Amino acid sequence: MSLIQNILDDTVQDRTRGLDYAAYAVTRDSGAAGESELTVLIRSHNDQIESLLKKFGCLGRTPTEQVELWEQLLPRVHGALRGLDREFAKTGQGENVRVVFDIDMGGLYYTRIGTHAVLFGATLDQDEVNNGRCERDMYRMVAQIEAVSTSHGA
Amino acid sequence: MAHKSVEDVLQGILGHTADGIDGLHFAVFRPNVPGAPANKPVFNEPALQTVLQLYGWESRTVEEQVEVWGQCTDAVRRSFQELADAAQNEKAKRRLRRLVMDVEVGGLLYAAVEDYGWVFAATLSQQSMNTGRAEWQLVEMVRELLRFLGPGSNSPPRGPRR
Repeated sequence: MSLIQNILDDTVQDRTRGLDYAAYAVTRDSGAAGESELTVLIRSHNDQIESLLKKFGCLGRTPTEQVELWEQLLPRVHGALRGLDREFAKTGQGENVRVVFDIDMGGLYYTRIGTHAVLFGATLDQDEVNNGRCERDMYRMVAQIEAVSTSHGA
Repeated sequence: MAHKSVEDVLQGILGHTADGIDGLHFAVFRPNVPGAPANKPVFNEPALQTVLQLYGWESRTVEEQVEVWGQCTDAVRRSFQELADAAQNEKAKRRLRRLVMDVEVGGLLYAAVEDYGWVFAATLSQQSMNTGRAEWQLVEMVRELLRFLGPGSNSPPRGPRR
C-alpha cells in the first residue's frame, strides 16, 4: 500500500498544481439490493488548498475541513453512481467507469479500478479543470496503480 | 444558415449521416423555465443504426435506444445536482456545470447552458469518449445553444430566465 501512497503523493503534492486531493478506496458489496460499502485506505492532499480557499472567499474553512468534506462526499458519490449503474442498465452501456464533475468551483473526479477499488480526486481550482490537467493526473495515477496492483497484488 | 430551433442546433452538431458514428448519438435540451415544454430529443439515426449492428444488438431498435436515453435524462439530473450542491456545502447554490460519465460502452454527458437550461447527450462510441470527441461536441452544443438562445439572437420568444 505504500506504493500507492507514493503514487498519490507524487501527483497531488506536485507544486505545479493539478489535483489538490486524492483518495484510494476499496469497496465491498453489502447486500442483495446492490449496496456497496466504501473505505478510504490512502489519501493525499497539498498545501494549495489554504490559498485557494482564501482566493474563493471561503474564509471560515480550514484545509482540514475541506478534506473532511471531500471524504464525506466520496461515499455519497459512490452510492449515487451505483444507483445510476442500475438506471443505465437499460441503455445496455454497462456501469460507470470514469466520472468527471465540473462544478462552479473546481471539479471532482471518480474512477473505478478493477471491481473493488476507486480513485477519487478533487480540486478547488477551476483553471486546472478547464485546462484538462486534473484529468491527466487521474489517468496517470490510475495507470500507475493498475501497474503496481498487477505486479504486487496490492 | 441560421438555426430555426433548439433541435436544429443540436442536430447540426450530431450530424445526419453514418459518417458520424464516432461522435455523440443523442442529445436533448431541457429549459429551466418552469412549465416550459420539453424539447424533443434529437439523434443521428443512420449512425445509431450502424453502431447497433456493429455491436450485434440487432434486437434493439434505434427508437428503443433513444427511449431509454430519454428515461435516463431526468434521473441523471436529479441525482447529480444534489451531489454538486453537497460537494460545495455552501449556502449559495452552486451549479453542476458539466458531468461526464464514461461507462463500459460509450458515455453519458450533461452540461448546463448558463441559466437557460441544460443539455444531456449520449453515445455508444467508446472511441469518442477516449479521444475526447464526445466532450468536444458537448462543449460545441453549449456554445451554439448560447448563441441561439442568448441576447440578440433570432430565436423564438421564451419564458423569463430563472
